[in-house]
Amino acid sequence: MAEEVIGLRNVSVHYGDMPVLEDVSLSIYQHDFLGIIGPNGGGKTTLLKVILGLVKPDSGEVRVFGGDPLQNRRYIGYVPQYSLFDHSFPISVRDVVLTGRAGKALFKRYTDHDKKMARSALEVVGMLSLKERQIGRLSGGQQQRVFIARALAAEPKVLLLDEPAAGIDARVQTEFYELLGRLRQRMAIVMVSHDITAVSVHVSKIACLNRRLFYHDSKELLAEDLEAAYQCPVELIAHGIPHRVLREH
Amino acid sequence: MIEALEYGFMMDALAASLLAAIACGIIGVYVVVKRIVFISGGISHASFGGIGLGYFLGIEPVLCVIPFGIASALAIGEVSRRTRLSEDVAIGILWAMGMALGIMLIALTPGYAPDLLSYLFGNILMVSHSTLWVMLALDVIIVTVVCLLYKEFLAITFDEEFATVIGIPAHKLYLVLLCLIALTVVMLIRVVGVILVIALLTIPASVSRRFTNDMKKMMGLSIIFAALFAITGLYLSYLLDLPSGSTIVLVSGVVFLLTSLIPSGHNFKY
Repeated sequence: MAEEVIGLRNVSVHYGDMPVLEDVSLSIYQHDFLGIIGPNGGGKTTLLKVILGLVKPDSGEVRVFGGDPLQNRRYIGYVPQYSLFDHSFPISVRDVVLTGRAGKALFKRYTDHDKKMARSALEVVGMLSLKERQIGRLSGGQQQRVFIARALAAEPKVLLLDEPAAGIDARVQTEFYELLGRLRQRMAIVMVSHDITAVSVHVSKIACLNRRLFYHDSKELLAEDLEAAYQCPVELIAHGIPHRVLREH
Repeated sequence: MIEALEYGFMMDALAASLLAAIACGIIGVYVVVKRIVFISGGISHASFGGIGLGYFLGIEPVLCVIPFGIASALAIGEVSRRTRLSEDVAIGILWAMGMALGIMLIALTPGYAPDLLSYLFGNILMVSHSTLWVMLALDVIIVTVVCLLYKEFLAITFDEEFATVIGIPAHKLYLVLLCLIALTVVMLIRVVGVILVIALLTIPASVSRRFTNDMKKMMGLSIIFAALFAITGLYLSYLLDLPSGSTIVLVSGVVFLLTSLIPSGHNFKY
């Protein structure tokens, strides 16, 4: 059995009186590509923030590489929703990616190694030619790639992506999933999305999240099995009968 | 202008303008790009409590503003994190409390405060040599800290959450940044006064943003703009016998309006 990268046991989170996550348990193993789908407001971003130690759960346990998220989150490459950024921020593509290295040695300048890592991360996502460009002057899909490069520059062992396909047109999305498919050779990937079509054939496991997590089990699913395994929620969500049905699932 | 410089106090005022321009040019860029204008306004107004305290204790008010401003900066940075209070409410309360405390302490001080207005609206012509030395020391501190923490500050101003995840003590560094704002406020009090400080923390940086997308260049340009605004304002106030602080602020505002009329490839939105 592959090593558990991220483990959640009975995690619950409340914002005030409002439950956001209830009794969520989840195991992510090396080379997993887990797609978590669910409606807006279903707790997807909160789940990622719990894994990252940015939100402390009210109950339950979170393990990242077998330890405390606060200790080990630096092995996680976090790709937040790119649309939430200040597009006018005076920063170049190269400098955005370099910030992925900023935690390596505090109070020191970037080393040549840092610059090399940033460069190769830009190469991987195919954005090296635009490295001098101000971040806001890129298309949505290009910005998304830059934020992935920033996460990669930190040499993560797992990649967490929050709504990576939102606002990106279908053709670019295909390229984007091909990129994730390549990255999966090197690391585990967890992607949350409210868009069921975003969960493509590249995903190896799937879960549905709407406050509670409906995990389509920890066993490895093959691409062929996949369709059968999540046929029903796909259909149900696609037809707009929402999450009440998922819960019975 | 040359003739004006024959007066010693004009030379001192010029020196004070340049020293203040260095601080507000650099720190103003962070204030603008991190969108913490309201927080900075809160720190500067709350600092007035320090001036009142200086009067009350009979100490040089500027020296009292330094610890008071830093305490306000830390309070604003911590209060919304540790309590359920929303940040803008916390700022609003500290803003008014600091001002009220300052007025109260001055009222309790025997005698009357002849240069009270100069702290509120600035009077660069009253800057003393000892204040110039304090300003120089504060510049050295600000420039040193920004040089040491440039990459960390860039990371936290661009994306605080990501910075936290990759192991940068983002909140602590944010508090350091707020303290640097407090120190910059101290320098600007002499130039434009606590009420008008916010103009020099925002206008030079906003104007320079129209010309570059590089943060370091933005800092350099914004120092130049701040110095130009201060010197032009100073000269006009001398020529036309106007209050120096408000002249400097109005000159800045006019330049801001003029540059925002120029179409620029760099501007997106403010």
